Amino acid sequence: MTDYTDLKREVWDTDMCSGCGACVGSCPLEALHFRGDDNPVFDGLCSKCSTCYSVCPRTERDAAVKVSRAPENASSIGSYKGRYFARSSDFQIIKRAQGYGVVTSVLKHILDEGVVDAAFVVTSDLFMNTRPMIARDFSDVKKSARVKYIWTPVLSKLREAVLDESVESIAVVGVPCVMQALEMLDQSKLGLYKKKIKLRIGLFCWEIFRHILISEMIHKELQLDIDPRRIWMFDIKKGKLVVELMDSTEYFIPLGTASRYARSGCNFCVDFTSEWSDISVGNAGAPKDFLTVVTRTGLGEGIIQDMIGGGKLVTGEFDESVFALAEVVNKKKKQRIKNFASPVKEKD
Amino acid sequence: MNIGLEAVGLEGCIYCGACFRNCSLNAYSELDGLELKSLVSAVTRITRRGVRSEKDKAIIELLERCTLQGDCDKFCPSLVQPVLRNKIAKSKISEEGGK
Repeated sequence: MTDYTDLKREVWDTDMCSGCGACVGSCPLEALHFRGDDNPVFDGLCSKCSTCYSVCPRTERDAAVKVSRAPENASSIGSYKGRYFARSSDFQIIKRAQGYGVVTSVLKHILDEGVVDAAFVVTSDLFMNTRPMIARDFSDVKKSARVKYIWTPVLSKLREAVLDESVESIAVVGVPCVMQALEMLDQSKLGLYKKKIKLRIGLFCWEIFRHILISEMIHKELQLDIDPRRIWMFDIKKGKLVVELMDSTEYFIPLGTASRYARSGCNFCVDFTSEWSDISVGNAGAPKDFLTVVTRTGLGEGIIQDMIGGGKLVTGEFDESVFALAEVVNKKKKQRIKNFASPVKEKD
Repeated sequence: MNIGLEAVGLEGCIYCGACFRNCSLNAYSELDGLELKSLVSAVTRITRRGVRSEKDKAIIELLERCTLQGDCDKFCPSLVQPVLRNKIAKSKISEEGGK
């Protein structure tokens, strides 16, 4: 029998927590909370039902599964049905969204077509304070269109979403740890979650940045004092974190430097392309003006094919540059796998 | 009295106590986490096999607070139907003379 104290000992106290929020969003007694700290806190009742432990992708038990899974995928970007270079065909979406509007277009498509009746996304205020939200239509989706790379415990509000009786089927957009947690939920006895979460849209991710460090990073690394309200979005291009302002000015921080401002839990992730998703999307490997789109399930492949067939996505000629991505992923995986040997020591 | 037992979905129960915790009548608010777990466990046992021991008296008293209103069903994360479970448990207690 496990409970939150095991999670605390194994994951929170060793700084392995990815911050996905799955433990918070699945606790049946709503006893776990994020209160501005990096790790969840316990405040409430615990019936030792093991739910929090069973959905965490970073426990000793599950880390072993993930690490053992890694070598067989080491030379690839995970299993897939299809690989595409794609962008939205809607100029208005491209203009407003991030990453050539692929995810925004997919969300619009699945909500319009009734594939799901809600999508779990991340939105932010003018100060780039992010929070999870349930999008029920395209006007909601637009609010999430440019939020990326800032840590948000996406799944922390999941219980609220699945308990909403007006929501029958949900799509979740998130980074690889979020997709891993959804897989853990799928393997658990939490039938209500399994019944409602229908589609996983994963984002490529090397690491995620803590909001509290954004101003510090910009101040220290760029020698600038930028009001967060002037930031249009963050992006990652060619090994650099791009800070784009409202006036289209771009500043670049090498990823190696930016990594110092990432969540420490990211050091224990060996999935960079959201291998546990139905559809995964990212910049890496893609030519100019396109994103790399990888479909991993029949459902994901069907959606992308429908969108291409319906003219909602424009595809570029696929070349094997995506293999260069696989090589980078392979190298990074091998580096990260070493962190599992002695996680506590790694923290020091 | 095994009719309906399959429909309850007891095999999915994680004994979290969310059903009693979220009782719309607030009838179990004084119970802590482990007491909630014990209550679910005992009610599940009674639902499956009937009343077996003197110790069940306390459980029977707690279960008497349940009016089978049904709001707890929607809080179960593992799709068990607590109302149906409680109904069967109450029925078994009644059949066995509420011992």
